[in-house]
Amino acid sequence: MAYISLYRKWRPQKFSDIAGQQNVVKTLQNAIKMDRIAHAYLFCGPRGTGKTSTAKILAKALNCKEGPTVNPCDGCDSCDKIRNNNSIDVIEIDAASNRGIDEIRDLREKVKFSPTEGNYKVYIIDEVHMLTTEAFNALLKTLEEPPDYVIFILATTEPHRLLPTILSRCQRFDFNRLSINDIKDRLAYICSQESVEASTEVLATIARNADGGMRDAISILDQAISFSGQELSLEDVGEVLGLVGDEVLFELTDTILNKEVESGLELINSIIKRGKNISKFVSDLINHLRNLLLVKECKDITKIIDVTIENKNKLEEQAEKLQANQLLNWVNILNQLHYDLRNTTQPRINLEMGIIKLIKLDEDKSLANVLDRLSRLEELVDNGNIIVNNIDDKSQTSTDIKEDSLDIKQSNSINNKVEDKNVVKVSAPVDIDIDKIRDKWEDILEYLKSDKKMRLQALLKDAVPAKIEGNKLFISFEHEFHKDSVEREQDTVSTVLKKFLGVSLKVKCIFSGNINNEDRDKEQEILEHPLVKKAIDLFNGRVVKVEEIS
Amino acid sequence: MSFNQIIGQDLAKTILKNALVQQRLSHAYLFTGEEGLGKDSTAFEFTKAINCQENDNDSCNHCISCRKANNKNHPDIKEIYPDGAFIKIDQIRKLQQEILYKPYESKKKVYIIHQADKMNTQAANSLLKTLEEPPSYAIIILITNNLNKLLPTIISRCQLIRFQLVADDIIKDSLIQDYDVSEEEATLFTTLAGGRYRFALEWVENIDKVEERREILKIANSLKDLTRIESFEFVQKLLDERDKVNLILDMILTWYRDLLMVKLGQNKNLINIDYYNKLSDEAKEWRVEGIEAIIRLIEDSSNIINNLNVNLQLALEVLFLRLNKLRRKNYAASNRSYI
Repeated sequence: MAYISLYRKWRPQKFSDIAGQQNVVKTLQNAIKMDRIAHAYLFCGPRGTGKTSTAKILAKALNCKEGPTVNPCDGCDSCDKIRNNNSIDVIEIDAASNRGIDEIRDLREKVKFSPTEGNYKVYIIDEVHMLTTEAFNALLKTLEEPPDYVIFILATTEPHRLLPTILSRCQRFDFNRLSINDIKDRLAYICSQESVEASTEVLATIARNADGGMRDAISILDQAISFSGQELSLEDVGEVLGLVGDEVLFELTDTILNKEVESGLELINSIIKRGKNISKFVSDLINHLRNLLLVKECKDITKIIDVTIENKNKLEEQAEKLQANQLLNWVNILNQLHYDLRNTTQPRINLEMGIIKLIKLDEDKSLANVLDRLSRLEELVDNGNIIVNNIDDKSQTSTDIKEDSLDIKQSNSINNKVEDKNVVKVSAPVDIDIDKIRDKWEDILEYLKSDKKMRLQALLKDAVPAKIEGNKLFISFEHEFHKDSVEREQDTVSTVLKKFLGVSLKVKCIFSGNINNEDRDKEQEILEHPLVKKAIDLFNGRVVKVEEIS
Repeated sequence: MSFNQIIGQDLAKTILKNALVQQRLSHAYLFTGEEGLGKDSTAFEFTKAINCQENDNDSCNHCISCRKANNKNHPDIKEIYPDGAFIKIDQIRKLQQEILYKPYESKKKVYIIHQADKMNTQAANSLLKTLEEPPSYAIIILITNNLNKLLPTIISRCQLIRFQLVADDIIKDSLIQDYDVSEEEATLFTTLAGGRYRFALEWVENIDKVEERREILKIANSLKDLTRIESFEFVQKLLDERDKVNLILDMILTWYRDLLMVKLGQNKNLINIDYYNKLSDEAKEWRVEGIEAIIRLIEDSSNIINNLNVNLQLALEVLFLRLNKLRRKNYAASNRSYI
């Protein structure tokens, strides 16, 4: 016999073959047992969940020579004919191709004739959602009161497109997506029958990628067998499906977390070059983040998600580094990306943009992002790493007092909570002197050295704290390179300053270049020139640069 | 031609050849992948190989069946193309009628449906039953470059053959060896094609296209200086070449994508590598958010133009006005932040 696709070869032939759908099968079997068979059934549910198969099995059960039976024999004449689609009493209609009123009129004519061989005449109307409105309406009367030997079984993936008057005339059965375990079991059975070797891990991967459809799962299995013969390895299946390995997902998440634009883009580039399935990759990444979120929020996740112990440990490790809110934001962005990928002709650019957006999220000013950062701050405060405190409220001017008292109240409440913890007190920016900083400069450098921040220390060695404006400390550098390097680590510098001075200062790096004092004096002179001052006043501007004209 | 002459696509070729050798031909295949990867030619080669009288896993090109196929008069190979904008239900009904007749002379009767995503709802649904259980001698091959536009019920009935982007080295080597292109040009064409072999060939075979690209990139580069009135004039010019609008928008898009890459210090992955200097000059004037916004804007606009029934002129005018606005906003802002 010629080869036929596995999903056709292993179409379920008995009620017990049907994977999942226990409630549907049980209801139907009981109906047969108790002789309470309805005249019209509606089977609906997503693709590959067994609607048409169940319909055929039901037809067999009704027309089997053993009379209506719960277990059709699958060996008698009638069962054989139904299996081979040539029974006269079981009529399978493709409603999507025969969708007009004429076809339904024809059906109504033929319904009158009683069955020739079996007990029942079964009409299986597949893809019934494609009937035209006229056809539906023409069917209504027959559907409500057919002759007692007629059973209608309507099957569709889109029940919402049926008329309510059709829905109310049928017994409706909803077929659910199959669980991964159900699919796995069925695949394992088929593999053993076809003498194909496949590990549970392989079958689980196939099952996950079938998205709840048995036919999809068996199709993938079929293709994998075509690709790699009688022994299926995880790599081969991944190759066929265009999957990206778990380790890439972990790596990419780390990259996003560490804000490494360069390696992130490189990773993406290699994924694209290897011809992976981009939209699958994005949904896998979403799934990965979802797993991380679940690990973070739930104590025992083994019941909810299906992962190996090794992966679970890795997930837990990675989840430690992440905030729930952060993950939610990422998932939102990726969902949007997934949606955009549907329409684009240049998936690569879309993917790159998405990843850049994820990595640069902190610079984003949107509300969601600000909330995310706020929650991270809250966590820090809860852990007792920081206290905001106003010490010098006496020195404040009277107009500020009202505002400040509010601040104090708030800071006090935080104070009470974390009183005992060993924390550095931070006061609001007040009159800290530039000289004070200069005095402590050596100590700061010494501290950096002891804290193994040798590089930073070396860079700052040549630098001088120049001036303070508001809560900004300007540090001037003689070399551009030093300035740029420190600029990248501004945050570290401010933390250290906070430690020593008890003041939260922002660090601004400026480049003094080779300007000597003489030049600076000259500049000052020019700036104070009445003409220049007048000009600034007139244009309401400020001086950007003073330059000598040669 | 035979399988071997299709560049890249090892995965697809392996699966199909194995299916031929092991005689595990599925009754329905779905070829999916971006434009220009060789789906159509692979489908054609596959059909020839199925019916070839001499070879098992490839076409021989000299048996009667292969010769007939090459001359497009094989009675058992049928190809279906969109009739106008869609593949209509009548075309599918015709297929359903014809498929019932046994093949005239070969083992298998093969139907190739090109641009299967162009099937309208009725056509797609009416194909479902036939696609699931065609007669034993029939094979249906669907080809699409947008899988998301097909019904899930269609996809689930077919074996999905995924076509991948071809590695740059393979394209480059093929250009140098088969088409006698200079090393430098081959590198450029390869990056421009972005893994799509047919696009690379188009660059080689069509000298005008190189010139055209230069023009378009000149425009892309000058967009930053365009005033509002000039952008209207520009749209007028675009409208004179309606069929090229998509190409032009795509190229402008790659320009901004490159700008973004330069801005982020990613000079390795540029598409327009030969314009690096201009790109890096322009990149200084932009902020990352600005470029991102422009890329999104162009993407959205080309989606609207391609998928919805809109007035092309209005859509383009709105696009370039917005572009202009974004440009002024971000350009000015970036200058402010540097003072």
